[in-house]
This record gives sequence, C-alpha cells and structure tokens, in this order.
Amino acid sequence: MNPKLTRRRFIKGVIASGAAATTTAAWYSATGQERPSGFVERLVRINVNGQVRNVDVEPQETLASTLRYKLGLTGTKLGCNRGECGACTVLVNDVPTYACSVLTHSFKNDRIETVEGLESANGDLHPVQQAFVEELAPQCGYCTPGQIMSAVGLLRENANPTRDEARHALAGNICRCGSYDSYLDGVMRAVELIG
Amino acid sequence: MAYMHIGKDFTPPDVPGKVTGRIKYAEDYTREGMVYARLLTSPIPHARVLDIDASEALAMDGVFGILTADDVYPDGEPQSTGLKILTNEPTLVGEPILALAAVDEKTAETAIAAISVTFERLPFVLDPLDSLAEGGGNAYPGDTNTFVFRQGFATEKWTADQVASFRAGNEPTAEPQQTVEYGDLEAAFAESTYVYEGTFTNAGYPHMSMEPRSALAYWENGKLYLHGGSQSLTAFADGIAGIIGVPKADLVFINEATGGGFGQRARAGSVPVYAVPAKLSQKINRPVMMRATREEEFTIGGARQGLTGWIKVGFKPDGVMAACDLWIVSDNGGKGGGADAFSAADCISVLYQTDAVRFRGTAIGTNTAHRGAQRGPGQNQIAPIISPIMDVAADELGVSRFDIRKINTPMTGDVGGPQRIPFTSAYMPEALEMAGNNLDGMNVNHVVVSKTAAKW
Ligand code: FES
Ligand code: FES
Repeated sequence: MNPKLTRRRFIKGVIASGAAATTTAAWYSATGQERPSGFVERLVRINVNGQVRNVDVEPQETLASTLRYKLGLTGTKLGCNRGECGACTVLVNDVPTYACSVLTHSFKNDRIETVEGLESANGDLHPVQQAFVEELAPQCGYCTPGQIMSAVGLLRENANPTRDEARHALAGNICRCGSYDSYLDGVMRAVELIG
Repeated sequence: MAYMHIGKDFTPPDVPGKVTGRIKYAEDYTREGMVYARLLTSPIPHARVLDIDASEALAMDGVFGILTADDVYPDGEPQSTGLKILTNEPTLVGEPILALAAVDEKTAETAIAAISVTFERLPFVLDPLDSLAEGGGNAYPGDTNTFVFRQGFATEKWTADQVASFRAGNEPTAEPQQTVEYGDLEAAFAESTYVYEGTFTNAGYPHMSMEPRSALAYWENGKLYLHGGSQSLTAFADGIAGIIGVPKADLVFINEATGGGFGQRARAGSVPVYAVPAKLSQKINRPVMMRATREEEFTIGGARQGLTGWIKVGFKPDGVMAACDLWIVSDNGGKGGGADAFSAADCISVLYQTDAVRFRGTAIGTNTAHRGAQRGPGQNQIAPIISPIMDVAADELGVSRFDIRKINTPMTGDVGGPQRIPFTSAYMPEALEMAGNNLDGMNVNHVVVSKTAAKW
C-alpha cells in the first residue's frame, strides 16, 4: 500500500466520517429504528477519469464500492476487500491506491483514475495496456487492472525505471496465476513504447 | 498442413478486454431488481443443526427470504463426501448452513445476525492419524472417517501401536485401502546399493483464485440464467445443471471470464455454492447476486489433499532408481477427496523410470478444508519429497546430482505407471541438456540441491 494512504489513515477516515459500520438508511429501514435528526445521505462530487460525477455515497462506503456498484466501473476488481491483494488499485492524484481500503467521501477534491480511463479518446490503448497485450501479461486477468494502475503510477513518477524498481512498484499486487515476470516484461516494454 | 495459430504471433481474443477492464467476471454483471444473498456458515468444525429460528430476520424490512438445506434437499442430503449446496451437518468450519436474500448486503448481514441456529457439537479431528488411532475423533457423519467407493461411509482404525510406529518413522503395518504395484520389488531392492527410507508430511495448500466464487442468477420464461466462473463451460454447465436440478436445456450458463480456477472450477461439484443464488432466485422470484468474500474462499474454497507417508527408494550403483515403495495416508478434509496419493506414485514411476514400484494408500477424512483437484495433483506433493532423495542418493553413490536425473529420465518409447503405458514423445534428456548448457559456468551439481535433504 502506498505510504500516503495507510491503514491507520483509513481507520481515522471512518471515525472522522462519524460512521459506525451500520449508520445507513438501509440499516435504519432494516432495523425499523428512527433515523437521527439531521441524518442525510451524502451526495458527493468526485472526479473520476476526468469527469465530475455526483454520487450518493454512504459514510462508510469504500471507493471500490462506489466505482463498481454506483458508477459501473467494474474494471476495478475486488480480490480481498481488505487491503491485501491490490486487485482494486486505482490512481488518486497519480498515486496507486487500494480502492477497497479508502473511503469515497475523503476524495472530494482529488483526481481518481481507473483502468477504464486510460485509453485515449480515439480508443488507442495506453502504452502500459499496449505493452501488457504485446507481452501477453494477463493470465486469468483478474489482477490485471490493478497491475496496470500500479505500473502507470510508477511510470508517471519515474519514466525510466529499472526492472527492480518496477518489481518494487508492483509488489503490492498479488497475481495468484503467477504472471509476475510477464507483468514486469510489460512494464519494461511500456518504457520502450513511451520512448 | 496450414495451421491457424502454430508458428504465428497472435493476440488471444480475451487479452484486450483484460487490459481495458471490459471483460466481465460473474460479479461484474447486474440485473434490474437484483437483490443480494449472504451466507450463514458453520462456526464449528463438526456439528448437527438442530433448529433454525429465522422469524426475526424474516420480519425485517428489506429481507426477501432464506434458503436452507431442507429447501434444497427435500428428500435428505446426498450420502457422499461431496460438498453440499447447504448442509445440516457441517464437517468443516465455514460450511454454508443457510442463505438469506435482502435488498443489500448490509441488510442481509444484519438479518443473518438475528438468526438463531442451535447446533449439536460433534467430535472433530484435524489430523488423519489422530482419526486412525482407536478412540480418535471421526470427521464424517454417523461417526465414520472414510468413504469406500460404491459402499459408502465406513470407519477405519489402526491399533495405538500401529499409529505410534508410523509416527516414529516406520513402515505402516496396517492393511491399506488400495495397493497398486508392478515389477519385482524384492529383487529390485536386492540390486540396490543405496537405499533411502523415511517418512514425510506435506500440507494441502489452497487454490485461492483471485476471483472469489461469486455468482448471479435469475429465471426468465422457465430458463435459469447463471453467471459464474468455470474452467470449462461445457463440462461445468452440465454438472451445475444436475446440482441445481434444472434440465440442461433450461440452463443458460454465462461465463465470459474466470479469475483463476487451478482445478477448483473444473467441475461443478467443487463449487456447488453457485446453486445458492439459483435456488434462492427461484424461491423469491428476483435476480440474486451472491458475492463471496475472501474469508469464504478460505473455508468453502478447496485445497489439495495433504499427504503423510513412508517412502523407501533403492538405487543401483550407477544411480538408476531400481525400486520405490510408497505408503501414503491422505488427508481428505471435511468434504471432497482425490487420488493424489496414487498419482504421486505414478509420477515417480513416470519421471524416474523405476524398475519396480509399490503404492499402498489409505484416505481418511478430517474436519479441515474441502479437498479437490489442483493442478498437478499428487505430482506437486511428491516433488519436494523425491527431489532431495535424488540428491542424497547422488551424493552417496558419487554420481552428480545433474547426472542422476539424466540417467533416470524417460525417453520416447519408454513406459510408465502400473499399466506400463508407452510415451509417444518425451524430450526430458534434451531439456536437461539444454538446461545444463545454459547453466554453463555454474556448478550444476549444486543447481538442483534441496536444503531439506540435509535434515533427512
Ligand atoms: S481488493 Fe483491495 S487490496 Fe484486495
Ligand atoms: S492473472 Fe490471474 S491473478 Fe494475475
């Protein structure tokens, strides 16, 4: 997980939101209890793939949930939903971030990018996507969007990484199919494609 | 003959969708009116469900219904060690007892927390040798610990001395459930100048695909539409139709991509939980999405069989493997099983062209994870056992660790296994030669060294 978004920061975010795990409209309707006065659903504006989207976000809702289930951006995968596998990696202000472990409401002023936002307007693949195709990097493909977002984040910060630096950058992305070397080949080929 | 793909570069059609995120896995689909299922799973390794009180949960707003083992098996649960869709006699922690559908997952979980299940605790066991010992717990229903083909559940026990002797590293003296052999074992050992003998244990590690076993189901015009992940559409669809109890012609199985299977999703019997949203959808007449959690993958997801064994291997003076005698107790877990132990013996016969092989094996249930096929069943468990033995034998006989593998490797026209099946093509010697050349400058004698050998 990237150092700017630690597990502690996630927990603090939950507390700051005033959210217990179940303070939602659904919970109140499910339990038949009255909503506390002043309770409102949060209509949040977030910037995803260059578009400002208005979303109804619950206080404890993770960014992965919002992207997948509210915005239909299912390219972001959930492998563990607990900050261990990296399948949910997206970029927040260019920083690879586990979307399952951060709260949507804390990104109101940030730039969020998912795998769906990488292609150019005319449909050309991003060089990292192109390189991953050329290297046939994906096997089952479930970890692939996360690997790609980590690679894009790396290349924005360091346009000419060594293979070891790439390995380090992708270390937070588990591939159960074991395609690690092919993903590293993909990153190094992307460096060439970008020139 | 002109080939479409051989000798040509091409992009497999699934790859672009995998790098753009467009390809769909089961959980990426949605359906109007879709509701969500959550599972209530067993917190106990072996138990019997005496009573389920779901009245409070069913009265909650947003709850649409529950599904129990009595719903899916009105005539009683099948008598087998196979995983059930839902069960009233869990034999492992995390086995699904019931499912509940609600407007969203939080409501479903809140409702499940309000369900009261009364369990009768039953004795449980985690190690097959503990179960084999007289007085040891039994993993299966009816106080049994093994399943005999065409006969059903049974109980197998060894004397305390037999278990203790095996634990101490000696050849088991109990009667095995299965014996397979070829060649003259006694004569082959007599020809051997170096004989290795020892015991081993390896755990059966889990498949743990990246995509959890989520599924979406809905019924339209009498047909069931089921979204799930599998390793073979055709093989899987037939199997899951049978488990759900829907005619094959009425099942539309949709599976664009699968986030890893590794043997676990080859057959529907390993993933009967896909029937939960199908049955629940039929009962409440709404599309049902069941998203499995990683924790559920650890419990209802499977693992290989763990093997505990005794092995004796004889080598001729030149390093040729003359004889292998293998006795394995397989850990069949709380559900499932497999033929990994025999495959381990078969693998030795094939890879090392042993003159004589005897395999003896017994499979015993434990109240641990479901066991099933995983790539290289048996071969992968025996590889870390046999490889250090090759190293030790090479050192003892003064043959290089590289050469002892070349000497024993199969070639085209050789035969393998108890049925002595011929190989139409085998190029291991060439592969080893290439590896040796590429490792030029390195001491190949140490390339294939195993650290565990020294401890043996
Ligand atoms: S799904 Fe977020 S780290 Fe695994
Ligand atoms: S390609 Fe299957 S998990 Fe990485």
